[in-house]
Amino acid sequence: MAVQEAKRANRLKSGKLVNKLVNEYWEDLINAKKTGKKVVYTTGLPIGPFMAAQDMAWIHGEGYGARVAARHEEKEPQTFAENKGFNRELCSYARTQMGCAMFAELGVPDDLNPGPIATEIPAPDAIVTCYPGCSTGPQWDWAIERVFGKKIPWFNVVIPYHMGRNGSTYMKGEEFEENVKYVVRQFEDLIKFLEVVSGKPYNWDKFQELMGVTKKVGQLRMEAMELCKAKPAPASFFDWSIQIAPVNYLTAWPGTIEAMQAVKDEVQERLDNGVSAVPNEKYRIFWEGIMNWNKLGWMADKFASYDATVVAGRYTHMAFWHEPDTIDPEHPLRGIAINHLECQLNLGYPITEERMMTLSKDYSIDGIVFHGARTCRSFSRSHFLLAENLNKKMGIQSTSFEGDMVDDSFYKEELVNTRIEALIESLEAQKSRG
Amino acid sequence: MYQNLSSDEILNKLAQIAADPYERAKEWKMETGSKIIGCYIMHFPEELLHAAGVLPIVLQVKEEPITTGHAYYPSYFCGPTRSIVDQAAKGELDFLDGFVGGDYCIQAVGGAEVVGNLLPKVNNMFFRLPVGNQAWTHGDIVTGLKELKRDIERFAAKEISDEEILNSIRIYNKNRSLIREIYELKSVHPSLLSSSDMLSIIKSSMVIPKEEHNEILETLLPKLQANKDSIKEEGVRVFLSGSFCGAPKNEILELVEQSGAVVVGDDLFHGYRYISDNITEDREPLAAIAAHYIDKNTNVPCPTRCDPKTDWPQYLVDSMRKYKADQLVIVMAQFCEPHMFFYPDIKDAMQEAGIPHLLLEISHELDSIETIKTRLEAFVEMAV
Ligand code: SF4
Ligand code: SF4
Repeated sequence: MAVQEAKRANRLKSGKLVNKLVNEYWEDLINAKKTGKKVVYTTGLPIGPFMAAQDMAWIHGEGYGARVAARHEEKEPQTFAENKGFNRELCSYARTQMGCAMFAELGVPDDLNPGPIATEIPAPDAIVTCYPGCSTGPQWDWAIERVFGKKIPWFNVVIPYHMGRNGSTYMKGEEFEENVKYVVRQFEDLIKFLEVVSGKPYNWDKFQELMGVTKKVGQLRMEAMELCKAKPAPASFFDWSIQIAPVNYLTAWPGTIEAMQAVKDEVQERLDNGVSAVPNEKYRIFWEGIMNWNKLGWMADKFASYDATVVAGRYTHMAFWHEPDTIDPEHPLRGIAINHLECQLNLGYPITEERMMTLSKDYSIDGIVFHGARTCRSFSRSHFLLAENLNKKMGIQSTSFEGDMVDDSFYKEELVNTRIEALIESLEAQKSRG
Repeated sequence: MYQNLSSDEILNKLAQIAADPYERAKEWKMETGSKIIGCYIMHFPEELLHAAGVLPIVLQVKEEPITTGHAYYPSYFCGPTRSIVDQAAKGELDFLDGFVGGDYCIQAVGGAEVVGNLLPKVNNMFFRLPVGNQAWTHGDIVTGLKELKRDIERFAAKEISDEEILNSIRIYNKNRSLIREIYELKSVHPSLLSSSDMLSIIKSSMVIPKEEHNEILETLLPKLQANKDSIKEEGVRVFLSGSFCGAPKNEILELVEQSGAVVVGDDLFHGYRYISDNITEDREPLAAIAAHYIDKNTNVPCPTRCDPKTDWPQYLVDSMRKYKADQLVIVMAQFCEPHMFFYPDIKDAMQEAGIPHLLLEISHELDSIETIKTRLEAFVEMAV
């Protein structure tokens, strides 16, 4: 029987530096209109530098949803969206941000009392979609475009699914090369679009400089995560989730290099001093699925109490400038395209499975937790196949439970407890069999 | 063969084909020794596959409960994708030689990934159909078509000529035109055919050789025309909308009519949406097919296509007026995200136009049939 003691996850302390940058970003965004900046709504993987080069502000839909949820303000926008007819089975990030956008455009109804963050979203001057691996992303942006009366210019960068046709594999093959060219061409058009929206010629020097920063931050993060291949791991997947902003909506924000360097230094220091993320690491777990933001702290402690470190995840390790070396800051479009095309959600099943097997080997994974985010079907679409095939091919055991990104009504704590416990027990039995 | 049958008998035959949708294709395979390609639902160039000498069929949702498929695809995915996964898991799709998936909806992408895994011997192809409608979209769709053409040619070990594609386009156009004629008849004489009959016509068209279907329709159409004046018209005029990818269940269609309504038009995928537009025959064939995707979406907008120049709610308001419909019944497959994103806009547009509408969210398991019945009856009653 697995024994659960009240142990706490030993979270990275340097993450606090990131908080400062996050606050600066939101301050800048909320005051954008006052400071004369255009505001661009985006969803999907980070494309902030495209806008930052033109001195425009950008809102990342998922980032906004996650922030609203982190402040426990998600209920009111979600209720508003539901009252307007948006079904609660829709992506909860979309529902949350749509609710906030409707507060901005339609006003707050008398029967709702939303928090300050949920009501401070500035209206968009343009919408840019760049969504890999999920049709919901562009459909969500289209819904935003309609909420704002079909007046907002909308540019949709189509990121083609990298299925793995005719032998194309991760970052290789005819399909991959064709896709890269196709996305680069669309980025060139996006730049023309942003010139029109901003009313000035594109500032390539600034863009190149920002992509230099992006590359550096991406490298630091990948290096820091790779230090966690060590046993015991000095940091966990939960740390990487908390530290996602500098490679997500904060991409290339001033200070992100220093912040990520501090994170990496702390991880290195822990490694040198034998300090681990979980006090007594016995099991190493892979988190498969999008993060459950309302439960992050609880989850981190939960696994720590079972002496289990969640060391890696598809969410953190297969996206967010995970291939920084492909970025050439002088000619950045190809590298950006590759990072988008080859991210966790955009890969066909065989490629996804191969990447997961590689990560499982590299991080010495004992078990996998499949978090089936109910309203993120892009993530959960391959869960059952992955569970079966990783067990068949590598003997990795797993458990699964339903939850969500920012709608905790889909989450049943008792069930989660039982499932995690069952996984730990079977890992324990496996270890004792040697 | 159908010449001596009455229109009802022909419709019965079509209903039988629709009820067992893969049987005729399997026979055809035995007869011809040729290959069958399953199209994983909504958007795919059947003409291109046909031109390669294979038989494209549109994979169908089966009404039976999902069992084996539960192990492969989560229960909170839409019925159409889960049903096809279930069929693959049960071995019911082993007769396929290939299938073509698409990227228009993430649930269909995931379903095709699972089917690809369950049917490793079946050639797994993919049609990239870029969304939107920008200056370059047409050219990008042509590129997607060229990629698919290359893959079909490899699969069928045969080059496809423009002439062959054009010939297939003609055959498919004929089918669409014939079905549209039936639609026109039905809109004026809605009791001439039940909506289940209409569904049988479309569904059978999706699963048997089009040449055969054309012959059947050419026999059926004059018989229907001959009947039209003997039909008594009564009932509340209803327009049916939605039901992407999978056919609405016959039970639902029957309930609509039993509630006292007649269906005067629809934009169902297993309906008008499937045959709304022909492909131009006087243009380079791939360019013509690509234009067709943009044009038909302008005429009957699809929420998966992300084309801001289209306006599905307005299309519905216009259709209600065109067909003099009293009420709109929306059939939404449970968990269908593209549809769910649009419902608020449709609701607002209907309210603004003063058109009553009823939203039916249908689970594959049809677990709330009694509630649906009560709601439908109460709704149709309102207009009586
Ligand atoms: S469903 Fe998931 S991948 Fe798709 S838009 Fe929502 S969060 Fe993004
Ligand atoms: S469009 Fe709707 S019914 Fe079709 S695959 Fe997507 S979710 Fe399913």
